Amino acid sequence: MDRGLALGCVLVLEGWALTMLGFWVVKMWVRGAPTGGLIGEALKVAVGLAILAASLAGWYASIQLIVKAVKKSHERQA
Amino acid sequence: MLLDILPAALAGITSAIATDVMTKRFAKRLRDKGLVGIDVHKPGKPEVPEGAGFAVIVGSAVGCVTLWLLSPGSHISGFLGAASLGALIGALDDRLDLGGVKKPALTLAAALPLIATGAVHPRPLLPVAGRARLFITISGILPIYMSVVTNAVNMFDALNGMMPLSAAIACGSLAVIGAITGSPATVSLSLVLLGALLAYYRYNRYPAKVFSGNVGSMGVGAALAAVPVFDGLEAFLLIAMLPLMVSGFFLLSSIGGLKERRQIGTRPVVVEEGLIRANPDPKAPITLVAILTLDRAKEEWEIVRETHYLTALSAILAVVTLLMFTPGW
Repeated sequence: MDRGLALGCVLVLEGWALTMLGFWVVKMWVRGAPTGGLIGEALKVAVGLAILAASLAGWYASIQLIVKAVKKSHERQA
Repeated sequence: MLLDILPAALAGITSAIATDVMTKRFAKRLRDKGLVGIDVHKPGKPEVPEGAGFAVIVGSAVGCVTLWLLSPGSHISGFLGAASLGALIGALDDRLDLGGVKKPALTLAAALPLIATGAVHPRPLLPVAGRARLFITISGILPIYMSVVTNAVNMFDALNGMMPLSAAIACGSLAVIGAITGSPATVSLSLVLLGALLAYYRYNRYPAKVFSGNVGSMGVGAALAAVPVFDGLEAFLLIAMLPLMVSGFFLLSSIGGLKERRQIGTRPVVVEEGLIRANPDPKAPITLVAILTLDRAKEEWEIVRETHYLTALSAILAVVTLLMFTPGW
Protein backbone atom coordinates (compact mmCIF):
# COMPACT_ATOMS: atom_id res chain seq x y z
CA MET A 1 0.00 0.00 0.00
CA ASP A 2 1.44 3.40 -0.90
CA ARG A 3 1.62 6.46 1.35
CA GLY A 4 -1.32 8.30 -0.25
CA LEU A 5 -3.79 5.44 0.14
CA ALA A 6 -2.53 4.69 3.68
CA LEU A 7 -3.04 8.34 4.61
CA GLY A 8 -6.56 8.23 3.13
CA CYS A 9 -7.40 5.13 5.23
CA VAL A 10 -5.98 6.76 8.40
CA LEU A 11 -8.04 9.91 7.78
CA VAL A 12 -11.24 7.90 7.28
CA LEU A 13 -10.59 5.94 10.49
CA GLU A 14 -9.71 9.12 12.38
CA GLY A 15 -12.92 10.80 11.17
CA TRP A 16 -14.93 7.78 12.26
CA ALA A 17 -13.26 7.56 15.69
CA LEU A 18 -13.75 11.29 16.38
CA THR A 19 -17.39 11.12 15.24
CA MET A 20 -18.00 8.20 17.60
CA LEU A 21 -16.30 10.11 20.41
CA GLY A 22 -18.54 13.08 19.61
CA PHE A 23 -21.67 10.91 19.82
CA TRP A 24 -20.46 9.43 23.11
CA VAL A 25 -20.05 12.92 24.60
CA VAL A 26 -23.50 13.85 23.22
CA LYS A 27 -24.95 10.81 24.98
CA MET A 28 -23.31 11.80 28.27
CA TRP A 29 -24.66 15.34 27.92
CA VAL A 30 -28.19 14.29 26.94
CA ARG A 31 -28.46 11.89 29.88
CA GLY A 32 -28.23 14.70 32.41
CA ALA A 33 -29.86 17.48 30.40
CA PRO A 34 -33.27 18.97 31.18
CA THR A 35 -36.07 17.86 28.83
CA GLY A 36 -39.35 19.20 27.48
CA GLY A 37 -40.55 22.04 25.28
CA LEU A 38 -39.09 23.87 22.34
CA ILE A 39 -36.37 25.64 24.34
CA GLY A 40 -35.24 22.44 26.09
CA GLU A 41 -35.07 20.53 22.80
CA ALA A 42 -33.41 23.40 20.92
CA LEU A 43 -30.80 23.76 23.66
CA LYS A 44 -30.02 20.05 23.62
CA VAL A 45 -29.75 20.05 19.83
CA ALA A 46 -27.53 23.16 19.83
CA VAL A 47 -25.14 21.68 22.41
CA GLY A 48 -25.20 18.29 20.65
CA LEU A 49 -24.34 19.89 17.31
CA ALA A 50 -21.61 21.98 18.95
CA ILE A 51 -20.04 18.82 20.43
CA LEU A 52 -20.14 17.06 17.06
CA ALA A 53 -18.73 20.18 15.37
CA ALA A 54 -15.89 20.22 17.91
CA SER A 55 -15.05 16.59 17.16
CA LEU A 56 -15.10 17.35 13.42
CA ALA A 57 -12.90 20.39 14.06
CA GLY A 58 -10.22 18.03 15.44
CA TRP A 59 -10.45 16.06 12.22
CA TYR A 60 -10.29 19.24 10.13
CA ALA A 61 -7.21 20.36 12.08
CA SER A 62 -5.30 17.20 11.19
CA ILE A 63 -6.30 17.64 7.53
CA GLN A 64 -4.99 21.22 7.73
CA LEU A 65 -1.67 19.94 9.09
CA ILE A 66 -1.38 17.55 6.13
CA VAL A 67 -2.21 20.36 3.68
CA LYS A 68 0.51 22.54 5.24
CA ALA A 69 3.07 19.70 5.15
CA VAL A 70 2.30 18.90 1.49
CA LYS A 71 2.50 22.59 0.51
CA LYS A 72 5.85 22.93 2.29
CA SER A 73 7.25 19.92 0.47
CA HIS A 74 5.98 21.39 -2.83
CA GLU A 75 7.74 24.68 -2.00
CA ARG A 76 10.96 22.80 -1.26
CA GLN A 77 10.69 20.95 -4.59
CA ALA A 78 10.08 24.25 -6.41
CA MET B 1 -39.59 -10.58 4.09
CA LEU B 2 -39.23 -11.60 0.42
CA LEU B 3 -42.63 -10.05 -0.36
CA ASP B 4 -41.44 -6.78 1.25
CA ILE B 5 -38.22 -6.71 -0.77
CA LEU B 6 -39.82 -7.74 -4.10
CA PRO B 7 -41.42 -4.34 -5.01
CA ALA B 8 -38.16 -2.57 -4.10
CA ALA B 9 -36.09 -5.02 -6.17
CA LEU B 10 -38.44 -4.61 -9.15
CA ALA B 11 -38.28 -0.82 -8.78
CA GLY B 12 -34.48 -1.01 -8.68
CA ILE B 13 -34.39 -3.06 -11.91
CA THR B 14 -36.83 -0.67 -13.64
CA SER B 15 -34.75 2.26 -12.48
CA ALA B 16 -31.57 0.66 -13.90
CA ILE B 17 -33.16 -0.07 -17.30
CA ALA B 18 -34.65 3.44 -17.56
CA THR B 19 -31.32 5.07 -16.60
CA ASP B 20 -29.48 2.98 -19.19
CA VAL B 21 -31.89 4.06 -21.96
CA MET B 22 -31.95 7.71 -20.86
CA THR B 23 -28.16 8.01 -20.54
CA LYS B 24 -27.70 6.90 -24.17
CA ARG B 25 -30.39 9.37 -25.33
CA PHE B 26 -29.06 12.25 -23.24
CA ALA B 27 -25.50 11.61 -24.45
CA LYS B 28 -26.57 11.89 -28.10
CA ARG B 29 -28.73 14.97 -27.50
CA LEU B 30 -26.10 16.78 -25.45
CA ARG B 31 -23.46 16.11 -28.11
CA ASP B 32 -25.80 17.28 -30.89
CA LYS B 33 -26.46 20.51 -28.98
CA GLY B 34 -22.75 21.06 -28.34
CA LEU B 35 -23.10 20.69 -24.57
CA VAL B 36 -19.76 19.00 -24.01
CA GLY B 37 -16.98 19.18 -21.46
CA ILE B 38 -13.27 18.56 -22.05
CA ASP B 39 -11.75 15.52 -20.35
CA VAL B 40 -8.54 17.26 -19.28
CA HIS B 41 -7.04 14.11 -17.76
CA LYS B 42 -6.85 12.22 -21.08
CA PRO B 43 -4.26 12.51 -23.84
CA GLY B 44 -5.79 14.50 -26.69
CA LYS B 45 -8.35 16.05 -24.29
CA PRO B 46 -11.50 14.55 -25.85
CA GLU B 47 -14.89 16.27 -25.75
CA VAL B 48 -17.48 14.39 -23.67
CA PRO B 49 -21.25 15.13 -23.43
CA GLU B 50 -21.78 16.96 -20.11
CA GLY B 51 -24.94 16.87 -17.99
CA ALA B 52 -25.91 13.23 -18.63
CA GLY B 53 -26.09 12.60 -14.88
CA PHE B 54 -29.65 13.88 -15.07
CA ALA B 55 -30.46 10.41 -16.48
CA VAL B 56 -29.99 9.05 -12.92
CA ILE B 57 -32.79 11.32 -11.69
CA VAL B 58 -35.10 10.42 -14.61
CA GLY B 59 -34.31 6.72 -14.17
CA SER B 60 -34.95 6.96 -10.41
CA ALA B 61 -38.28 8.68 -11.20
CA VAL B 62 -39.30 5.70 -13.36
CA GLY B 63 -38.22 3.36 -10.55
CA CYS B 64 -40.27 5.44 -8.10
CA VAL B 65 -43.39 5.11 -10.30
CA THR B 66 -42.96 1.32 -10.22
CA LEU B 67 -42.48 1.45 -6.45
CA TRP B 68 -45.55 3.67 -6.08
CA LEU B 69 -47.71 1.21 -8.08
CA LEU B 70 -46.54 -1.78 -6.02
CA SER B 71 -46.12 -0.23 -2.58
CA PRO B 72 -47.21 3.44 -2.33
CA GLY B 73 -46.05 5.86 0.36
CA SER B 74 -45.37 9.56 0.86
CA HIS B 75 -41.62 8.89 1.18
CA ILE B 76 -41.51 8.26 -2.60
CA SER B 77 -42.76 11.75 -3.49
CA GLY B 78 -40.44 13.32 -0.88
CA PHE B 79 -37.43 11.49 -2.34
CA LEU B 80 -38.31 12.51 -5.90
CA GLY B 81 -38.97 16.12 -4.87
CA ALA B 82 -35.61 16.44 -3.12
CA ALA B 83 -33.72 14.79 -6.02
CA SER B 84 -35.45 17.04 -8.58
CA LEU B 85 -34.74 20.17 -6.56
CA GLY B 86 -31.06 19.17 -6.19
CA ALA B 87 -30.85 18.59 -9.97
CA LEU B 88 -32.56 21.93 -10.64
CA ILE B 89 -30.01 23.79 -8.49
CA GLY B 90 -27.23 21.89 -10.29
CA ALA B 91 -28.72 22.85 -13.67
CA LEU B 92 -28.81 26.49 -12.57
CA ASP B 93 -25.17 26.20 -11.52
CA ASP B 94 -24.25 24.68 -14.90
CA ARG B 95 -25.87 27.63 -16.69
CA LEU B 96 -25.31 30.58 -14.32
CA ASP B 97 -22.25 29.57 -12.24
CA LEU B 98 -23.79 30.15 -8.81
CA GLY B 99 -20.47 30.32 -6.95
CA GLY B 100 -19.21 28.65 -3.79
CA VAL B 101 -21.58 30.33 -1.33
CA LYS B 102 -24.89 30.59 -3.19
CA LYS B 103 -24.86 26.92 -4.19
CA PRO B 104 -24.71 25.44 -0.64
CA ALA B 105 -27.19 28.10 0.49
CA LEU B 106 -29.67 27.15 -2.24
CA THR B 107 -29.32 23.42 -1.52
CA LEU B 108 -30.73 24.04 1.97
CA ALA B 109 -34.06 24.17 0.11
CA ALA B 110 -33.72 20.52 -0.98
CA ALA B 111 -35.09 19.64 2.49
CA LEU B 112 -38.43 21.33 1.78
CA PRO B 113 -40.02 18.48 -0.25
CA LEU B 114 -39.03 16.05 2.53
CA ILE B 115 -40.49 18.22 5.30
CA ALA B 116 -43.64 18.78 3.20
CA THR B 117 -44.39 15.04 3.14
CA GLY B 118 -44.59 14.98 6.94
CA ALA B 119 -42.93 11.55 6.78
CA VAL B 120 -39.46 12.53 8.04
CA HIS B 121 -38.57 10.38 11.07
CA PRO B 122 -38.44 12.72 14.11
CA ARG B 123 -36.26 10.31 16.12
CA PRO B 124 -32.98 9.80 14.22
CA LEU B 125 -30.92 6.80 15.26
CA LEU B 126 -27.53 8.00 16.51
CA PRO B 127 -24.43 5.85 17.01
CA VAL B 128 -23.67 5.25 20.72
CA ALA B 129 -26.61 7.45 21.84
CA GLY B 130 -29.55 5.51 20.32
CA ARG B 131 -32.77 7.21 19.19
CA ALA B 132 -32.77 10.99 19.73
CA ARG B 133 -35.96 13.01 20.26
CA LEU B 134 -36.06 15.82 17.70
CA PHE B 135 -39.81 16.24 17.25
CA ILE B 136 -39.59 20.04 16.96
CA THR B 137 -36.08 20.77 15.73
CA ILE B 138 -35.73 18.14 12.98
CA SER B 139 -37.06 20.61 10.38
CA GLY B 140 -34.24 23.02 11.32
CA ILE B 141 -31.47 20.43 11.12
CA LEU B 142 -32.61 18.73 7.90
CA PRO B 143 -31.73 21.63 5.51
CA ILE B 144 -28.13 21.72 6.85
CA TYR B 145 -27.83 17.95 6.47
CA MET B 146 -29.18 18.09 2.89
CA SER B 147 -26.77 20.87 1.94
CA VAL B 148 -23.73 19.07 3.41
CA VAL B 149 -24.47 15.74 1.67
CA THR B 150 -25.47 17.27 -1.69
CA ASN B 151 -22.39 19.47 -1.91
CA ALA B 152 -20.04 16.72 -0.70
CA VAL B 153 -21.25 14.47 -3.54
CA ASN B 154 -20.91 17.38 -5.98
CA MET B 155 -17.30 18.04 -4.90
CA PHE B 156 -16.44 14.34 -5.27
CA ASP B 157 -17.24 14.35 -9.00
CA ALA B 158 -13.62 14.94 -10.00
CA LEU B 159 -12.53 11.93 -12.09
CA ASN B 160 -14.24 9.37 -14.33
CA GLY B 161 -16.65 7.16 -12.38
CA MET B 162 -15.61 8.55 -8.99
CA MET B 163 -18.97 10.03 -8.02
CA PRO B 164 -21.51 7.42 -9.19
CA LEU B 165 -19.75 4.34 -7.79
CA SER B 166 -18.90 6.05 -4.48
CA ALA B 167 -22.55 7.11 -4.14
CA ALA B 168 -23.60 3.57 -5.09
CA ILE B 169 -21.35 2.04 -2.39
CA ALA B 170 -22.81 4.43 0.23
CA CYS B 171 -26.29 3.61 -1.07
CA GLY B 172 -25.56 -0.13 -0.83
CA SER B 173 -24.53 0.25 2.80
CA LEU B 174 -27.79 2.11 3.46
CA ALA B 175 -29.72 -0.79 1.90
CA VAL B 176 -27.95 -3.22 4.24
CA ILE B 177 -28.49 -0.97 7.28
CA GLY B 178 -32.15 -0.50 6.28
CA ALA B 179 -32.61 -4.28 5.98
CA ILE B 180 -30.95 -4.93 9.36
CA THR B 181 -33.03 -2.29 11.17
CA GLY B 182 -36.28 -3.24 9.37
CA SER B 183 -36.64 0.13 7.62
CA PRO B 184 -38.70 -0.42 4.44
CA ALA B 185 -38.49 3.17 3.09
CA THR B 186 -34.68 3.18 3.27
CA VAL B 187 -34.40 -0.27 1.63
CA SER B 188 -36.76 0.56 -1.23
CA LEU B 189 -35.38 4.03 -2.00
CA SER B 190 -31.77 2.86 -1.77
CA LEU B 191 -32.45 0.02 -4.23
CA VAL B 192 -34.11 2.47 -6.65
CA LEU B 193 -31.11 4.83 -6.49
CA LEU B 194 -28.59 1.95 -6.51
CA GLY B 195 -30.07 0.55 -9.74
CA ALA B 196 -29.89 3.96 -11.42
CA LEU B 197 -26.32 4.66 -10.23
CA LEU B 198 -24.94 1.29 -11.34
CA ALA B 199 -26.56 1.64 -14.77
CA TYR B 200 -25.15 5.16 -15.10
CA TYR B 201 -21.69 4.08 -13.90
CA ARG B 202 -21.28 1.95 -17.06
CA TYR B 203 -21.16 5.16 -19.08
CA ASN B 204 -19.30 7.41 -16.63
CA ARG B 205 -16.52 4.97 -15.66
CA TYR B 206 -13.01 5.26 -17.12
CA PRO B 207 -12.79 6.16 -20.00
CA ALA B 208 -15.97 8.21 -19.54
CA LYS B 209 -18.46 8.39 -22.39
CA VAL B 210 -20.53 10.97 -20.48
CA PHE B 211 -20.00 13.56 -17.72
CA SER B 212 -22.58 14.06 -14.96
CA GLY B 213 -22.47 17.87 -14.81
CA ASN B 214 -23.61 19.68 -11.67
CA VAL B 215 -27.16 18.77 -12.68
CA GLY B 216 -26.27 15.10 -12.22
CA SER B 217 -23.97 15.24 -9.21
CA MET B 218 -26.22 17.55 -7.21
CA GLY B 219 -29.31 15.55 -8.16
CA VAL B 220 -27.58 12.35 -7.02
CA GLY B 221 -26.38 14.09 -3.83
CA ALA B 222 -29.87 15.27 -2.90
CA ALA B 223 -31.37 11.87 -3.77
CA LEU B 224 -28.76 10.05 -1.67
CA ALA B 225 -29.33 12.43 1.25
CA ALA B 226 -33.10 11.84 1.04
CA VAL B 227 -32.88 8.02 1.22
CA PRO B 228 -32.39 7.55 5.01
CA VAL B 229 -34.46 10.46 6.40
CA PHE B 230 -37.76 8.55 6.51
CA ASP B 231 -36.30 6.02 8.96
CA GLY B 232 -33.95 8.34 10.86
CA LEU B 233 -30.75 6.70 9.56
CA GLU B 234 -28.97 9.89 8.41
CA ALA B 235 -25.99 9.44 10.77
CA PHE B 236 -25.08 6.15 9.05
CA LEU B 237 -25.06 7.76 5.61
CA LEU B 238 -22.69 10.41 6.95
CA ILE B 239 -20.35 7.66 8.20
CA ALA B 240 -20.56 5.84 4.85
CA MET B 241 -19.56 9.12 3.17
CA LEU B 242 -16.40 9.88 5.22
CA PRO B 243 -14.05 9.98 2.17
CA LEU B 244 -16.36 12.53 0.56
CA MET B 245 -16.08 14.63 3.73
CA VAL B 246 -12.27 14.21 3.71
CA SER B 247 -12.24 15.42 0.11
CA GLY B 248 -14.41 18.44 0.98
CA PHE B 249 -12.28 19.28 4.04
CA PHE B 250 -9.08 19.13 1.94
CA LEU B 251 -10.55 21.56 -0.55
CA LEU B 252 -11.89 23.91 2.14
CA SER B 253 -8.62 23.83 4.04
CA SER B 254 -6.33 24.44 1.04
CA ILE B 255 -8.35 27.15 -0.72
CA GLY B 256 -9.46 28.85 2.51
CA GLY B 257 -13.25 28.84 2.15
CA LEU B 258 -16.19 28.02 -0.06
CA LYS B 259 -15.13 28.53 -3.67
CA GLU B 260 -16.37 27.09 -6.94
CA ARG B 261 -14.04 24.98 -9.13
CA ARG B 262 -13.98 27.77 -11.72
CA GLN B 263 -12.96 30.36 -9.08
CA ILE B 264 -9.76 28.45 -8.24
CA GLY B 265 -7.00 29.62 -10.58
CA THR B 266 -4.63 26.66 -10.40
CA ARG B 267 -5.61 23.03 -11.03
CA PRO B 268 -5.00 20.61 -8.13
CA VAL B 269 -3.33 18.01 -10.38
CA VAL B 270 -1.17 17.92 -13.47
CA VAL B 271 -1.26 15.30 -16.22
CA GLU B 272 1.98 14.06 -17.77
CA GLU B 273 2.05 11.25 -20.32
CA GLY B 274 -1.37 10.04 -19.22
CA LEU B 275 -0.41 9.96 -15.54
CA ILE B 276 -1.93 12.23 -12.89
CA ARG B 277 0.00 13.70 -9.98
CA ALA B 278 -0.41 16.50 -7.43
CA ASN B 279 0.32 19.94 -8.89
CA PRO B 280 3.61 21.11 -7.27
CA ASP B 281 2.56 24.77 -7.65
CA PRO B 282 2.32 26.11 -4.04
CA LYS B 283 -0.89 27.95 -5.03
CA ALA B 284 -2.59 24.73 -6.19
CA PRO B 285 -5.34 23.38 -3.90
CA ILE B 286 -4.60 20.08 -2.16
CA THR B 287 -7.36 17.58 -2.83
CA LEU B 288 -7.89 13.91 -1.98
CA VAL B 289 -6.69 13.08 -5.51
CA ALA B 290 -3.49 15.03 -4.84
CA ILE B 291 -2.99 13.10 -1.58
CA LEU B 292 -3.49 9.75 -3.34
CA THR B 293 -0.72 10.69 -5.79
CA LEU B 294 1.77 11.75 -3.09
CA ASP B 295 4.20 8.88 -3.72
CA ARG B 296 3.96 8.60 -7.49
CA ALA B 297 1.93 9.71 -10.49
CA LYS B 298 -0.92 7.31 -11.18
CA GLU B 299 -3.34 6.50 -13.97
CA GLU B 300 -6.82 7.95 -13.59
CA TRP B 301 -8.55 4.59 -13.15
CA GLU B 302 -6.04 3.66 -10.41
CA ILE B 303 -6.84 6.81 -8.38
CA VAL B 304 -10.58 6.25 -8.83
CA ARG B 305 -10.21 2.64 -7.68
CA GLU B 306 -8.43 3.83 -4.52
CA THR B 307 -11.22 6.33 -3.74
CA HIS B 308 -13.64 3.40 -4.06
CA TYR B 309 -11.54 1.38 -1.58
CA LEU B 310 -11.87 4.30 0.86
CA THR B 311 -15.64 4.51 0.34
CA ALA B 312 -15.93 0.74 0.81
CA LEU B 313 -14.00 1.05 4.09
CA SER B 314 -16.44 3.75 5.24
CA ALA B 315 -19.45 1.71 4.15
CA ILE B 316 -18.18 -1.22 6.25
CA LEU B 317 -17.60 1.16 9.19
CA ALA B 318 -21.21 2.36 8.88
CA VAL B 319 -22.55 -1.21 9.15
CA VAL B 320 -20.12 -2.05 12.00
CA THR B 321 -21.23 1.12 13.82
CA LEU B 322 -24.83 -0.01 13.64
CA LEU B 323 -24.15 -3.58 14.73
CA MET B 324 -21.61 -2.92 17.48
CA PHE B 325 -22.01 0.64 18.73
CA THR B 326 -25.67 1.57 18.35
CA PRO B 327 -28.33 0.76 20.94
CA GLY B 328 -32.08 0.93 20.45
CA TRP B 329 -32.78 -0.17 16.88
